[in-house]
Amino acid sequence: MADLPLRDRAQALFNFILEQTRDRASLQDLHQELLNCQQRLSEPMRVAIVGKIKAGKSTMLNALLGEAIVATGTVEATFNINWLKYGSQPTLKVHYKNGKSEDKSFEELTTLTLRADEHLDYLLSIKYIEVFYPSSILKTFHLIDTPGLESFYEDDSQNTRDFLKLHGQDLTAATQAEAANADAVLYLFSHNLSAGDQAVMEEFQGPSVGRATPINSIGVLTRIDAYWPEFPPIESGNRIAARLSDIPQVHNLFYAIKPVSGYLALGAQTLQTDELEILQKLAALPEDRLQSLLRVRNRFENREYPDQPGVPTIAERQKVLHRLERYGIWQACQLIRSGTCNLESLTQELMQASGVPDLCELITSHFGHRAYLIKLRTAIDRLHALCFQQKQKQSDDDLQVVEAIAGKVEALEANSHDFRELDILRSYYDRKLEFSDAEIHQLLEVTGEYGQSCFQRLGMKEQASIDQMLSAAKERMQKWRLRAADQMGASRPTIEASTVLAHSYERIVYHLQEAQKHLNFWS
Amino acid sequence: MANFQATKQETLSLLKSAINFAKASSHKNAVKRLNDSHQHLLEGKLFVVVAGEFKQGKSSLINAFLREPGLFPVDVDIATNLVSTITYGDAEKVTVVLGEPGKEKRKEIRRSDIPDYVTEQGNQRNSKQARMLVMESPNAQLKEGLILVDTPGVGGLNVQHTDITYAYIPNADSILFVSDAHAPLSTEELNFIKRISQHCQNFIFVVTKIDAVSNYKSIIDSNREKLAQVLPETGDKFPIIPVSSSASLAYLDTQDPEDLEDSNLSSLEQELWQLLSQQRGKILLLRALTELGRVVADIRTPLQAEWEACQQHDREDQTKLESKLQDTSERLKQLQGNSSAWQYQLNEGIQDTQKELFRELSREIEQIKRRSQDYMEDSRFLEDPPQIARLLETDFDSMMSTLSEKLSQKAGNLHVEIVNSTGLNMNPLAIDSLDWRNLGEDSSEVRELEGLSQVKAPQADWWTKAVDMVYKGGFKATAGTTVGTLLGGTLGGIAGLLFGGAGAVPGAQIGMALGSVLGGVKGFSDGAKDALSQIQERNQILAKREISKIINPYIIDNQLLCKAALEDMVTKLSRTMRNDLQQQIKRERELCDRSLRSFQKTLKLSQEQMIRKMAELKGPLQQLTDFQKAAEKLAMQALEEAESDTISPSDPAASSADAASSDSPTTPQPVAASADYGDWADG
Repeated sequence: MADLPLRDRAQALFNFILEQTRDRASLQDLHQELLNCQQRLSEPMRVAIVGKIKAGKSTMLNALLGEAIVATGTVEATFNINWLKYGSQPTLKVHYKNGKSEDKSFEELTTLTLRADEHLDYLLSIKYIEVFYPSSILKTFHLIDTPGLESFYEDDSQNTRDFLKLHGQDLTAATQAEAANADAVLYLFSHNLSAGDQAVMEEFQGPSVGRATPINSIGVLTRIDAYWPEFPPIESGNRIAARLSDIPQVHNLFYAIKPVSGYLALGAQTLQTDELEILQKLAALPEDRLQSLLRVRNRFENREYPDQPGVPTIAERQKVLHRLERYGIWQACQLIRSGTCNLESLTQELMQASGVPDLCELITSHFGHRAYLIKLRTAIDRLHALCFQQKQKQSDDDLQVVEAIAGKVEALEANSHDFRELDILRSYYDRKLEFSDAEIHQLLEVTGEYGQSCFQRLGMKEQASIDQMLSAAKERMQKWRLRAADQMGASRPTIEASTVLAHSYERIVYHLQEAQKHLNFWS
Repeated sequence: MANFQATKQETLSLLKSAINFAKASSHKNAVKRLNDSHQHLLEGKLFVVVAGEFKQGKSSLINAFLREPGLFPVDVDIATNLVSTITYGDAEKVTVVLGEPGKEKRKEIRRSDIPDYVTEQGNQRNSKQARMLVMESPNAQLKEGLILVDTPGVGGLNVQHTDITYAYIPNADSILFVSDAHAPLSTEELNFIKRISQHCQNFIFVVTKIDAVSNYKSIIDSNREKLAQVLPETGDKFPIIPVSSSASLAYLDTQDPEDLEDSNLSSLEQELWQLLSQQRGKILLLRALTELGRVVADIRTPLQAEWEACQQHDREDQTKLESKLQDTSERLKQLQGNSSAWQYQLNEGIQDTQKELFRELSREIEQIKRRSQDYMEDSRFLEDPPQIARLLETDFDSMMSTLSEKLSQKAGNLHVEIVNSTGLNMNPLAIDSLDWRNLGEDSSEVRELEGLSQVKAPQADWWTKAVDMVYKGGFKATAGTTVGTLLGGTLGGIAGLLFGGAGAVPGAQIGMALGSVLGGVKGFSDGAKDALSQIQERNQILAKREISKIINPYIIDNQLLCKAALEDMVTKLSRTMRNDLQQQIKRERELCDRSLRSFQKTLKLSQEQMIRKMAELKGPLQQLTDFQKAAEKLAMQALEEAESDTISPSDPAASSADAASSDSPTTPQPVAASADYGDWADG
């Protein structure tokens, strides 16, 4: 059969099923849902930010956006689902559980969430809040800030606890639903607060993560700045992430785990000029004095040192502490001492220290390059579910239509090489494949980890000629065919994966040959 | 107040004077016993167990306490994955214990090698089969006999090292429960506290990392509130101490008083020593003082008899006293016979105890079975079936700990009854130690030596209190001895503290037997875990069926093992008790006979000889009386230190067992008796 691009075949499928359901009265619900699914395929990918309460979700979200847009700090703030989309003007749209919606200003929302107990009934009536914001990352992704997963013991005040005890289950349910509905998930956790591996594991397992797989999930180790001063945050975070990634339950769920400090990233991006001046004063102190001042948080925040004129005032110190926390302050002073003098370069360097730019890059490459496939995967899962539901309801002709649709959906899934690639990617993340490092690299390459075009899939430079690419593709195709023929030595998943990969190269060879034909035709 | 150290020094010097006296008067046996006692007190160990979840700063806290940064590996990631102990030694010595339970090997390593065994990084999933780390260090903080036990985190479901951690808990003189200031105590932590509070309640709650948050007071308030719910018996008496280990460690470098003050470590140390002097520290002291009293009484009684002989001029009184002594000797002789009533009493008591324990065992096993059903219903465990075996293993371990603790309680009770009915003298510090011969006029106080009726013993307040306290603790024989044997019996020794060196025998014996059971349980568990890890079934019902096939026989095997072990424990214990009692009777008879002979010999002396004799006796008797008085004073001191604070709340395990004697202010001697357990075998 003709190897049309997946996008075209999916489009054909949707055209077909929409055509089939359009004029059937009893299938109008289905028709509407199909339209929704189709719509989603053209929208930016939905990335949900999930994690326990206080894992730093809202802070992370703000750090990604570069501004403090959603409220942080209070548990009540995490009460709502915030759905962030691109918009040229910052606006809010509140959607209620009763299906109605209304526009609100940012200020109104802050007022409501800050005094949550007074407005409890109102807040409970909200289903989600659409936030439109002119932030470039939102052009590529929709970000969904979820309420936390239930865990009221981590909160200090009795009020908060009562509050959450009352609504904890609702919040968990809402978060889970949102995670299941998203195309991709950032799962946030802070090692510092969790009770060892087992507890981390527990968080990861169970229904909370929804359909997390390494293809659509990235783990984010947050709050690494809290390791300081005992340990260097980034190195330590990387080490923890590396060890966690080695645990089967973890690498079965996440593509990777990235250590970040959302707080530092946000602070760096929102740093003010007068705060820079305070930091400069602190940087002028002898290094050991600054170290001593930062050693105990309470000291830095609340203690007077009247006989030491070099030490900034309590108010000044509180200001920078609130902006950057202890590690951020230390890092900033180190940078200032070694010559960083303007706000812009300080922001940039502090951003690097936060680990957030790395995370952004990873999100773009890992989710972004496969965005369509991942979205289609979500859509097809949804279609399966819809067909199944409709089969129970419908009869006669309508039933036949539904069955025909279900058949088409299955056919698309079964005949799409892209999904096979997704499957072997899955096998790889499950560590079922006995490939060498070099082979794994090719696997990732050819399945589009580093980009979708031929040269990227072959791991070649953009300038590579078609002939060069063709010979490389043929060579690899041969190699993987041989690998697939190794019936004696290799495991079943390994052989299957080799077969799929051989076919992947075959497709590239086919495309390249077609391209060559065109070129030859024109030349 | 934290006067343990001071009282200990005074007691040691009193012992030294007594040793000199005994040497001068060539009481060889007494010299030996006093030397032993001196040694025991000097080396007496106080167990401080540091427990808590992962990542709460346990190892940092120990490093700060010892003022040795980096002694225990501290890491941003999970560091400690095995139990480590550290105690005083003249030179640093680090030993790692490796291998299967029962087949442990010891290996001496360098300090720099510690992370290779203790950390998750150096020893992933404990592939090196390390069981524990034993360290000796010439650290001044440890000089008063502290053994610090650093435990790996005990998480809700993490049971990898919980067996050893749990083993230490019942023997702990203090548990430092560590949680950090980032978050209030979690449900898992509270559950753990609740669970171990059944074994030991000497908690100090330490809130670490106060340097990282501004307002740790709200965390403390929240913890207090939660703890009050979990530990309702304690009210809100438990201490919660906020500390900053990093400020404390920084102080070592900076010498900045601000660091020292912010660390608040001195509050923790004060609290710890106070608790220790209230608890085992007191017992250590009382044990030494008790032994001193006994030795002194042994020397003094015959001298006292001579003195009395010189004093009694009336012929009738002389005869009366003589015949009392003869009667006593005769009765003690009868007690030595095999058909003596106490022997039957012991047999019956042991049989009852055994029956009762077996009933308890079946009850507990039923509960474990029920729990195993619950585990199998839990989908989390179906994901990882070996967890079930791990949890059950802990259940069996804690069941055996509880049962053996009950056994020692019962044995204590029985001993009390027997000593009570035989009327053996218990209080070594009663100044007038001849009064057991009952020189008083009131004949109602004459003891029915072989009857079972309650009799009044001479009261000594401190003694009653002291022994009451020890008695409530039972023998404290627990799984700790499993690893205790590795520590050269230190843990076994602690089992019977007040009961003297040989008095530890029952405790150690129970502990030993218990150790082998726990080893067995571990063996079965390893087998079961292997088998369970093979289960791949994902269907819940089918998986449950597969798991039951492994778990049910596992429970049965363990049941048999535990029953056999319990039987063995009871048999050995009854033998030991019999021997101990026989020894005690023998010694008391010897003392009685010796006193009688001295009395009779003195009566034959002439008037001038008697005067000379009295002059000779006056000095030593005065000296001995002084020793006794000094010992009594120190004993009061040790006890009063505790009085100022509430004495440890009643042990729930003990409260039912000692119901008979718990109202014992009026009937003190049952309690007094237990303290003597096995003490005589010391000589």
